[in-house]
Amino acid sequence: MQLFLLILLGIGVLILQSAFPFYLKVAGVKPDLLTAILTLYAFIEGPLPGARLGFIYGLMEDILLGRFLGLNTFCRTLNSYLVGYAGQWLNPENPWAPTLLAFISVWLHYLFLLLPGRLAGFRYPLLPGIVNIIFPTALYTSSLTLILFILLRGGVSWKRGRRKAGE
Amino acid sequence: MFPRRRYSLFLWMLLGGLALFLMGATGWRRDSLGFLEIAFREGLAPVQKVVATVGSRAYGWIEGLKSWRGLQEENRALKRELERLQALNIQLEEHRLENQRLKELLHFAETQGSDFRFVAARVIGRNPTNWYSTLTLDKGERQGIKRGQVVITSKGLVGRVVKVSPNTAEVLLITDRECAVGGLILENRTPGVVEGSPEFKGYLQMIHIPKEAPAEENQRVITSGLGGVFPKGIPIGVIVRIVTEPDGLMKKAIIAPFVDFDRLEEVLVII
Repeated sequence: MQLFLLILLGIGVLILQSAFPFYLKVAGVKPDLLTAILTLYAFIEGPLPGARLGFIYGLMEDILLGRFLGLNTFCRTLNSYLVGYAGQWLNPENPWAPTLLAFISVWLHYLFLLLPGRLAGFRYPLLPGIVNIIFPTALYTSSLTLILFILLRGGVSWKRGRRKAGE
Repeated sequence: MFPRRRYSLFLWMLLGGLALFLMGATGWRRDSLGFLEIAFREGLAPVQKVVATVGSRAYGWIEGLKSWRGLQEENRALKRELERLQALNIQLEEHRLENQRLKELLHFAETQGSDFRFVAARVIGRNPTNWYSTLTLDKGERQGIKRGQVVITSKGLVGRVVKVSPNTAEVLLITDRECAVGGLILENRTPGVVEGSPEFKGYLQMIHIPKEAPAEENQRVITSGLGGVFPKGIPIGVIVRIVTEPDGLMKKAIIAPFVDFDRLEEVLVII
């Protein structure tokens, strides 16, 4: 059930990003909302569930984009696994931990697209790619991850409080 | 002297006569009020005023209380009506703007009609990533759209169709790095290759212009027709900056496209 809801969330995010990119743009870039969700999920659930969701989201993205099928699948699976793995060593209550992980995750994902992605035919100049896309997207996405994590934590503690009051 | 009964009758007659006299003397034709009347009226007026005000307000309150439920219901109904009319107004405004855009497209199609045949399509999606610049249209193979066809608006060049499904088509925008167009500076016929600028996102660049070529700011760029994909003469954009390339032998022109790609809603596909 949870996986099904997460898949629906992923589809919703892809539709949102393709239907209203103009409203989401800041400094000329759109946020990588899938990375934000994957980072939070892998950080909370661990490397293997993270990698599983990363695989599903990456595949969905590849199918929607219709080019370099497998490139995003591979990047997102690997990235989510690494985020989940690194998350085990970080304080799970600290909101800056997933923020930092999301920042690194965007860098890893996009650098992978820029460098080994060339073998698959993905060509984009390195320096403009880093300055105009990777850095602003990483900053934007990690900021959103921080907000989402705080909201999520607030929601969880509110739910716990209600449960205790019920008891 | 007078018996008691006669005395009484006389008094009544006197009073009646006095009354008749007073009635006659104070008829409609009298110009002013008497002293007593004035004093009485003036003394009574403030009291009357207060009583009238209190009465009026009390009546209003009572009526208000009586109609409170009715007013609430009416208020709710009016609010609902207002919301409905506001929504309708937005819808009408949307239709008016759409009509305006379609009229522009139609006018453009009519003026170009002898040269091209068009299919009008609506933009239903954009690329969700930051790496590609593509649009998804609501028309595809079934409406006669094929890979490689050129997409324009009344303002200028949009891109070319790269993928087609039965009812959708994906358009690679000219701002994408993968899309290269043969361009020509309108004022001095200087040719060059126009592609998406990686340094200036959302802008185009015309590369490989010889250093001596008279390319300057504010000059307009159109398609040259070279390469056979894009027909000649479609407006692309206006030069906003000239940059010397690292080798020092060539320069490139940064171009602001005529089309606002973020706000594209309808396009024409040349079939």
